[in-house]
Amino acid sequence: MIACARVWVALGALASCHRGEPPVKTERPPDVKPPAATAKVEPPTPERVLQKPTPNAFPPCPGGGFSFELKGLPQERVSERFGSPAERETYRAGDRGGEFYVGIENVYPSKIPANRDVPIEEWTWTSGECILTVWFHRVDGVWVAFDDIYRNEDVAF
Amino acid sequence: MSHATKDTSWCTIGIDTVAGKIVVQERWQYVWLLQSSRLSRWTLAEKQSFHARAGRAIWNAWSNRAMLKVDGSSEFAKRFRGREIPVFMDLRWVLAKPHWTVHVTKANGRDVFIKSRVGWSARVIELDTNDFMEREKCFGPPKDLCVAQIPVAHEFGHTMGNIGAVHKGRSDEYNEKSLFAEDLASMMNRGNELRDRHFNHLIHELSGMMADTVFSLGRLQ
Repeated sequence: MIACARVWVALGALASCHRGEPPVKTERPPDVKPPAATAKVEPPTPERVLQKPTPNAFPPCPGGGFSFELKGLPQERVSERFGSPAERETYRAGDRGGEFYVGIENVYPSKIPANRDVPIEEWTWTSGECILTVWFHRVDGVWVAFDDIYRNEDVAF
Repeated sequence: MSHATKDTSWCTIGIDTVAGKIVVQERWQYVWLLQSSRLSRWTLAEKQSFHARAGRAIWNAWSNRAMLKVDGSSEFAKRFRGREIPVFMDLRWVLAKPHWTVHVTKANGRDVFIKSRVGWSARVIELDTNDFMEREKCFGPPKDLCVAQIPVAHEFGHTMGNIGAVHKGRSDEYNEKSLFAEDLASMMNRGNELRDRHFNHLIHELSGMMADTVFSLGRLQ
Protein backbone atom coordinates (compact mmCIF):
# COMPACT_ATOMS: atom_id res chain seq x y z
CA MET A 1 0.00 0.00 0.00
CA ILE A 2 2.83 2.37 0.87
CA ALA A 3 4.52 1.66 -2.42
CA CYS A 4 1.24 2.27 -4.21
CA ALA A 5 0.76 5.56 -2.38
CA ARG A 6 4.22 6.67 -3.42
CA VAL A 7 3.46 5.90 -7.02
CA TRP A 8 0.34 8.02 -6.75
CA VAL A 9 2.30 10.91 -5.32
CA ALA A 10 4.96 10.66 -7.97
CA LEU A 11 2.75 10.25 -10.94
CA GLY A 12 -0.35 12.06 -9.88
CA ALA A 13 -3.33 10.82 -11.74
CA LEU A 14 -1.23 9.04 -14.35
CA ALA A 15 -0.76 5.85 -12.47
CA SER A 16 -3.36 3.46 -11.21
CA CYS A 17 -2.70 1.46 -8.10
CA HIS A 18 -3.92 -2.05 -8.91
CA ARG A 19 -2.01 -4.73 -7.09
CA GLY A 20 -1.48 -6.36 -10.42
CA GLU A 21 -0.02 -3.25 -11.99
CA PRO A 22 2.72 -4.38 -14.32
CA PRO A 23 6.06 -2.98 -13.17
CA VAL A 24 8.11 -3.61 -16.29
CA LYS A 25 8.26 -2.00 -19.68
CA THR A 26 7.00 -3.66 -22.79
CA GLU A 27 8.69 -3.42 -26.12
CA ARG A 28 5.63 -1.83 -27.65
CA PRO A 29 3.94 1.13 -26.03
CA PRO A 30 0.19 1.07 -25.64
CA ASP A 31 -2.02 3.06 -27.88
CA VAL A 32 -2.28 6.49 -26.35
CA LYS A 33 -4.97 8.86 -27.56
CA PRO A 34 -3.58 12.18 -28.76
CA PRO A 35 -4.29 14.92 -26.28
CA ALA A 36 -6.93 17.47 -27.10
CA ALA A 37 -5.57 20.76 -28.37
CA THR A 38 -6.47 22.54 -25.17
CA ALA A 39 -5.19 19.86 -22.88
CA LYS A 40 -1.90 20.22 -21.13
CA VAL A 41 0.61 17.96 -22.81
CA GLU A 42 2.60 16.07 -20.27
CA PRO A 43 6.07 14.79 -21.05
CA PRO A 44 6.32 11.05 -21.54
CA THR A 45 7.57 9.15 -18.54
CA PRO A 46 8.77 5.59 -18.31
CA GLU A 47 5.53 4.70 -16.59
CA ARG A 48 3.63 5.93 -19.64
CA VAL A 49 4.84 3.00 -21.72
CA LEU A 50 3.71 0.37 -19.27
CA GLN A 51 1.13 -1.88 -20.78
CA LYS A 52 -2.00 -1.65 -18.66
CA PRO A 53 -4.59 -4.38 -18.45
CA THR A 54 -7.94 -3.89 -20.07
CA PRO A 55 -10.79 -3.26 -17.62
CA ASN A 56 -11.95 -6.42 -15.86
CA ALA A 57 -9.04 -8.38 -17.31
CA PHE A 58 -8.69 -10.16 -13.98
CA PRO A 59 -12.08 -11.41 -12.78
CA PRO A 60 -12.60 -13.11 -9.40
CA CYS A 61 -10.85 -16.44 -9.10
CA PRO A 62 -12.79 -18.68 -6.72
CA GLY A 63 -12.52 -22.46 -6.76
CA GLY A 64 -9.86 -24.37 -8.63
CA GLY A 65 -9.25 -21.87 -11.40
CA PHE A 66 -9.69 -21.99 -15.15
CA SER A 67 -8.03 -21.27 -18.47
CA PHE A 68 -8.63 -18.10 -20.44
CA GLU A 69 -8.06 -20.24 -23.57
CA LEU A 70 -5.30 -17.97 -24.83
CA LYS A 71 -3.77 -20.68 -27.01
CA GLY A 72 -2.53 -19.23 -30.29
CA LEU A 73 -2.35 -15.59 -29.18
CA PRO A 74 0.97 -13.79 -29.74
CA GLN A 75 2.60 -12.05 -26.80
CA GLU A 76 1.54 -8.61 -28.00
CA ARG A 77 -2.12 -9.56 -27.86
CA VAL A 78 -1.74 -11.08 -24.44
CA SER A 79 0.01 -7.93 -23.20
CA GLU A 80 -2.75 -5.77 -24.62
CA ARG A 81 -5.32 -7.72 -22.64
CA PHE A 82 -3.54 -8.24 -19.34
CA GLY A 83 -0.87 -5.55 -19.32
CA SER A 84 2.78 -6.27 -18.80
CA PRO A 85 3.46 -9.34 -16.66
CA ALA A 86 4.92 -9.05 -13.19
CA GLU A 87 7.35 -11.88 -13.93
CA ARG A 88 8.90 -13.31 -17.06
CA GLU A 89 10.93 -16.49 -17.10
CA THR A 90 12.66 -18.32 -19.90
CA TYR A 91 13.72 -21.93 -19.58
CA ARG A 92 14.13 -25.16 -21.50
CA ALA A 93 11.04 -27.37 -21.69
CA GLY A 94 13.03 -30.16 -20.06
CA ASP A 95 13.91 -28.05 -17.05
CA ARG A 96 10.43 -28.06 -15.55
CA GLY A 97 8.18 -30.90 -14.49
CA GLY A 98 5.16 -31.52 -12.31
CA GLU A 99 1.43 -31.06 -12.75
CA PHE A 100 1.68 -27.27 -13.10
CA TYR A 101 3.81 -27.73 -16.22
CA VAL A 102 1.77 -30.50 -17.79
CA GLY A 103 0.81 -28.21 -20.70
CA ILE A 104 4.47 -28.25 -21.74
CA GLU A 105 4.48 -32.03 -21.60
CA ASN A 106 1.40 -32.10 -23.85
CA VAL A 107 3.16 -30.12 -26.56
CA TYR A 108 6.73 -31.28 -26.01
CA PRO A 109 6.73 -34.81 -24.55
CA SER A 110 9.94 -35.11 -22.60
CA LYS A 111 10.42 -38.72 -23.63
CA ILE A 112 11.76 -37.26 -26.88
CA PRO A 113 15.14 -35.81 -25.86
CA ALA A 114 15.11 -33.06 -28.51
CA ASN A 115 11.96 -31.61 -26.97
CA ARG A 116 13.75 -30.87 -23.72
CA ASP A 117 15.79 -28.10 -25.36
CA VAL A 118 12.81 -26.16 -26.68
CA PRO A 119 12.78 -22.64 -25.19
CA ILE A 120 9.67 -21.72 -23.22
CA GLU A 121 8.63 -18.30 -21.91
CA GLU A 122 6.45 -18.17 -18.83
CA TRP A 123 4.68 -14.94 -17.91
CA THR A 124 2.92 -14.36 -14.61
CA TRP A 125 0.50 -11.69 -13.47
CA THR A 126 -0.80 -11.21 -9.95
CA SER A 127 -4.01 -9.35 -9.22
CA GLY A 128 -4.96 -9.42 -5.57
CA GLU A 129 -5.22 -13.10 -4.64
CA CYS A 130 -5.51 -14.18 -8.28
CA ILE A 131 -2.61 -15.38 -10.40
CA LEU A 132 -2.42 -15.82 -14.16
CA THR A 133 0.34 -17.83 -15.79
CA VAL A 134 0.75 -18.05 -19.56
CA TRP A 135 3.25 -20.24 -21.39
CA PHE A 136 4.62 -19.27 -24.80
CA HIS A 137 6.66 -21.04 -27.43
CA ARG A 138 8.20 -19.69 -30.60
CA VAL A 139 6.35 -20.51 -33.80
CA ASP A 140 7.76 -19.17 -37.07
CA GLY A 141 9.72 -16.58 -35.13
CA VAL A 142 6.74 -15.38 -33.09
CA TRP A 143 6.19 -16.09 -29.41
CA VAL A 144 2.71 -17.60 -29.17
CA ALA A 145 0.72 -18.75 -26.13
CA PHE A 146 0.09 -22.48 -25.90
CA ASP A 147 -1.25 -22.84 -22.36
CA ASP A 148 -2.54 -20.71 -19.51
CA ILE A 149 -4.09 -21.06 -16.06
CA TYR A 150 -5.85 -18.49 -13.90
CA ARG A 151 -6.39 -19.39 -10.27
CA ASN A 152 -6.46 -18.33 -6.65
CA GLU A 153 -3.11 -18.15 -4.89
CA ASP A 154 -4.09 -21.06 -2.61
CA VAL A 155 -4.43 -23.52 -5.51
CA ALA A 156 -1.78 -26.22 -5.79
CA PHE A 157 -1.19 -28.46 -8.78
CA MET B 1 -15.37 -51.38 18.14
CA SER B 2 -14.60 -48.27 20.11
CA HIS B 3 -13.92 -45.09 18.16
CA ALA B 4 -12.74 -41.57 18.63
CA THR B 5 -13.78 -39.44 15.70
CA LYS B 6 -13.14 -35.93 14.51
CA ASP B 7 -14.81 -34.25 11.57
CA THR B 8 -12.53 -31.58 10.16
CA SER B 9 -13.19 -29.34 7.19
CA TRP B 10 -11.15 -31.61 4.96
CA CYS B 11 -11.70 -35.13 6.31
CA THR B 12 -13.13 -37.29 9.05
CA ILE B 13 -10.58 -39.02 11.22
CA GLY B 14 -11.49 -42.16 13.08
CA ILE B 15 -9.29 -43.82 15.68
CA ASP B 16 -10.16 -47.44 16.36
CA THR B 17 -9.08 -47.67 19.96
CA VAL B 18 -9.49 -51.44 20.10
CA ALA B 19 -7.71 -52.55 16.93
CA GLY B 20 -5.27 -49.64 17.04
CA LYS B 21 -5.70 -48.16 13.61
CA ILE B 22 -6.63 -44.82 12.09
CA VAL B 23 -8.96 -44.22 9.16
CA VAL B 24 -8.96 -40.92 7.28
CA GLN B 25 -12.07 -40.54 5.18
CA GLU B 26 -12.73 -37.73 2.71
CA ARG B 27 -16.28 -37.18 1.50
CA TRP B 28 -16.20 -36.37 -2.21
CA GLN B 29 -19.11 -34.87 -4.10
CA TYR B 30 -18.57 -35.07 -7.84
CA VAL B 31 -19.32 -32.70 -10.68
CA TRP B 32 -18.99 -34.56 -13.97
CA LEU B 33 -17.59 -32.54 -16.90
CA LEU B 34 -16.59 -33.11 -20.53
CA GLN B 35 -13.46 -31.70 -22.14
CA SER B 36 -15.36 -31.25 -25.41
CA SER B 37 -18.94 -31.56 -26.59
CA ARG B 38 -17.90 -34.39 -28.92
CA LEU B 39 -17.60 -36.70 -25.94
CA SER B 40 -20.46 -38.84 -24.73
CA ARG B 41 -22.13 -37.91 -21.46
CA TRP B 42 -20.98 -39.65 -18.33
CA THR B 43 -22.80 -42.90 -17.67
CA LEU B 44 -23.41 -44.17 -14.17
CA ALA B 45 -21.01 -47.04 -14.83
CA GLU B 46 -18.29 -44.59 -15.85
CA LYS B 47 -18.86 -42.52 -12.74
CA GLN B 48 -18.72 -45.59 -10.53
CA SER B 49 -15.58 -46.73 -12.31
CA PHE B 50 -13.92 -43.37 -11.77
CA HIS B 51 -14.71 -43.37 -8.07
CA ALA B 52 -13.49 -46.94 -7.65
CA ARG B 53 -10.26 -46.24 -9.52
CA ALA B 54 -9.62 -43.06 -7.55
CA GLY B 55 -10.17 -44.93 -4.31
CA ARG B 56 -7.84 -47.74 -5.36
CA ALA B 57 -5.09 -45.42 -6.55
CA ILE B 58 -5.20 -43.44 -3.33
CA TRP B 59 -5.42 -46.54 -1.19
CA ASN B 60 -2.39 -48.05 -2.94
CA ALA B 61 -0.36 -44.88 -2.64
CA TRP B 62 -1.28 -43.70 0.85
CA SER B 63 -2.90 -46.47 2.92
CA ASN B 64 -1.02 -48.64 5.36
CA ARG B 65 2.18 -46.73 4.61
CA ALA B 66 2.46 -44.51 7.66
CA MET B 67 2.93 -46.30 10.97
CA LEU B 68 2.24 -43.99 13.86
CA LYS B 69 3.53 -44.16 17.41
CA VAL B 70 1.55 -43.16 20.44
CA ASP B 71 2.68 -41.84 23.78
CA GLY B 72 0.94 -40.42 26.82
CA SER B 73 -0.90 -41.48 29.93
CA SER B 74 -4.29 -42.41 28.42
CA GLU B 75 -5.49 -46.01 28.46
CA PHE B 76 -5.16 -46.08 24.68
CA ALA B 77 -1.60 -44.75 24.79
CA LYS B 78 -0.59 -47.25 27.43
CA ARG B 79 -2.11 -50.15 25.51
CA PHE B 80 -0.51 -49.24 22.18
CA ARG B 81 2.82 -47.86 23.34
CA GLY B 82 5.57 -49.52 21.33
CA ARG B 83 3.11 -50.81 18.75
CA GLU B 84 2.55 -49.53 15.26
CA ILE B 85 -0.71 -47.82 14.42
CA PRO B 86 -1.38 -47.90 10.68
CA VAL B 87 -3.22 -45.15 8.83
CA PHE B 88 -5.74 -45.99 6.10
CA MET B 89 -7.24 -43.60 3.57
CA ASP B 90 -10.78 -43.85 2.30
CA LEU B 91 -12.99 -41.94 -0.13
CA ARG B 92 -16.73 -41.75 0.29
CA TRP B 93 -18.91 -40.66 -2.62
CA VAL B 94 -21.61 -38.36 -1.27
CA LEU B 95 -24.40 -36.32 -2.81
CA ALA B 96 -24.41 -33.65 -0.10
CA LYS B 97 -22.23 -32.26 2.68
CA PRO B 98 -18.87 -33.06 1.10
CA HIS B 99 -15.47 -32.23 2.42
CA TRP B 100 -14.42 -31.74 -1.19
CA THR B 101 -16.22 -30.86 -4.39
CA VAL B 102 -14.49 -32.86 -7.10
CA HIS B 103 -14.74 -31.71 -10.71
CA VAL B 104 -13.91 -34.64 -12.98
CA THR B 105 -13.33 -33.96 -16.66
CA LYS B 106 -13.68 -36.73 -19.21
CA ALA B 107 -10.56 -36.14 -21.31
CA ASN B 108 -10.47 -36.13 -25.10
CA GLY B 109 -7.89 -38.86 -25.31
CA ARG B 110 -5.52 -40.93 -23.27
CA ASP B 111 -2.50 -38.79 -24.12
CA VAL B 112 -4.06 -35.43 -23.20
CA PHE B 113 -3.09 -34.08 -19.81
CA ILE B 114 -5.25 -31.53 -18.03
CA LYS B 115 -3.84 -29.57 -15.12
CA SER B 116 -5.17 -31.34 -12.05
CA ARG B 117 -5.23 -29.20 -8.94
CA VAL B 118 -6.59 -28.54 -5.49
CA GLY B 119 -8.07 -25.29 -4.19
CA TRP B 120 -7.72 -25.43 -0.45
CA SER B 121 -10.02 -22.66 0.74
CA ALA B 122 -12.74 -23.53 -1.78
CA ARG B 123 -12.28 -27.26 -1.00
CA VAL B 124 -12.25 -28.04 -4.70
CA ILE B 125 -10.35 -30.77 -6.51
CA GLU B 126 -9.96 -30.73 -10.30
CA LEU B 127 -9.27 -34.16 -11.80
CA ASP B 128 -9.59 -35.88 -15.16
CA THR B 129 -9.96 -39.38 -16.51
CA ASN B 130 -6.24 -39.71 -17.22
CA ASP B 131 -5.21 -39.10 -13.65
CA PHE B 132 -4.83 -42.80 -12.87
CA MET B 133 -2.20 -43.35 -15.50
CA GLU B 134 1.41 -42.97 -14.58
CA ARG B 135 2.70 -39.71 -15.96
CA GLU B 136 6.36 -39.69 -16.81
CA LYS B 137 8.68 -36.71 -16.97
CA CYS B 138 12.16 -37.14 -18.42
CA PHE B 139 15.19 -34.95 -17.85
CA GLY B 140 18.69 -34.62 -19.16
CA PRO B 141 21.31 -34.25 -20.35
CA PRO B 142 23.68 -34.69 -18.71
CA LYS B 143 21.97 -37.71 -17.16
CA ASP B 144 18.92 -39.19 -18.78
CA LEU B 145 16.39 -39.59 -15.99
CA CYS B 146 12.65 -40.24 -16.01
CA VAL B 147 10.35 -39.92 -12.98
CA ALA B 148 6.76 -41.18 -12.93
CA GLN B 149 3.77 -40.13 -10.90
CA ILE B 150 0.09 -41.02 -10.58
CA PRO B 151 -1.60 -37.60 -10.53
CA VAL B 152 -4.63 -38.51 -8.42
CA ALA B 153 -2.32 -39.69 -5.64
CA HIS B 154 -0.34 -36.45 -5.83
CA GLU B 155 -3.49 -34.31 -5.67
CA PHE B 156 -4.78 -36.33 -2.73
CA GLY B 157 -1.57 -35.36 -0.99
CA HIS B 158 -2.56 -31.70 -1.32
CA THR B 159 -5.91 -32.47 0.31
CA MET B 160 -3.95 -33.97 3.21
CA GLY B 161 -2.64 -30.51 3.98
CA ASN B 162 0.48 -30.59 1.84
CA ILE B 163 -0.34 -27.22 0.40
CA GLY B 164 0.91 -23.68 0.89
CA ALA B 165 -2.40 -22.51 2.32
CA VAL B 166 -1.85 -24.83 5.29
CA HIS B 167 1.91 -24.91 5.63
CA LYS B 168 3.84 -22.23 3.82
CA GLY B 169 6.51 -23.87 1.71
CA ARG B 170 4.78 -27.25 1.81
CA SER B 171 3.06 -27.15 -1.52
CA ASP B 172 4.29 -28.45 -4.83
CA GLU B 173 7.78 -29.61 -4.14
CA TYR B 174 8.76 -29.40 -7.81
CA ASN B 175 8.59 -25.63 -7.48
CA GLU B 176 12.16 -24.37 -7.80
CA LYS B 177 11.75 -22.39 -4.58
CA SER B 178 10.72 -25.47 -2.59
CA LEU B 179 13.11 -26.81 0.03
CA PHE B 180 12.46 -30.23 -1.47
CA ALA B 181 12.86 -29.38 -5.15
CA GLU B 182 15.73 -31.86 -5.48
CA ASP B 183 13.71 -34.72 -4.03
CA LEU B 184 12.30 -35.72 -7.41
CA ALA B 185 10.95 -39.09 -6.25
CA SER B 186 8.74 -37.52 -3.58
CA MET B 187 4.96 -37.82 -3.99
CA MET B 188 4.52 -34.07 -3.66
CA ASN B 189 7.31 -33.49 -6.18
CA ARG B 190 7.25 -35.56 -9.39
CA GLY B 191 7.39 -39.08 -8.02
CA ASN B 192 5.33 -41.58 -6.08
CA GLU B 193 7.22 -41.94 -2.81
CA LEU B 194 5.86 -40.73 0.51
CA ARG B 195 7.94 -38.80 2.98
CA ASP B 196 7.51 -38.25 6.71
CA ARG B 197 6.64 -34.60 6.15
CA HIS B 198 3.58 -35.56 4.09
CA PHE B 199 1.82 -36.69 7.28
CA ASN B 200 2.54 -33.60 9.36
CA HIS B 201 -0.90 -32.08 8.97
CA LEU B 202 -2.67 -35.33 9.80
CA ILE B 203 -0.60 -35.70 12.95
CA HIS B 204 -1.44 -32.10 13.81
CA GLU B 205 -5.14 -32.95 13.47
CA LEU B 206 -4.74 -36.10 15.57
CA SER B 207 -3.25 -34.17 18.42
CA GLY B 208 -5.96 -33.22 20.82
CA MET B 209 -8.39 -35.86 19.62
CA MET B 210 -7.81 -37.94 22.73
CA ALA B 211 -6.78 -36.58 26.08
CA ASP B 212 -3.25 -37.43 27.27
CA THR B 213 -2.43 -39.03 23.93
CA VAL B 214 0.36 -37.88 21.64
CA PHE B 215 0.79 -39.23 18.13
CA SER B 216 3.94 -39.12 16.05
CA LEU B 217 5.20 -40.79 12.92
CA GLY B 218 7.05 -44.01 13.60
CA ARG B 219 8.06 -45.07 10.14
CA LEU B 220 6.94 -45.25 6.52
CA GLN B 221 6.72 -48.52 4.67
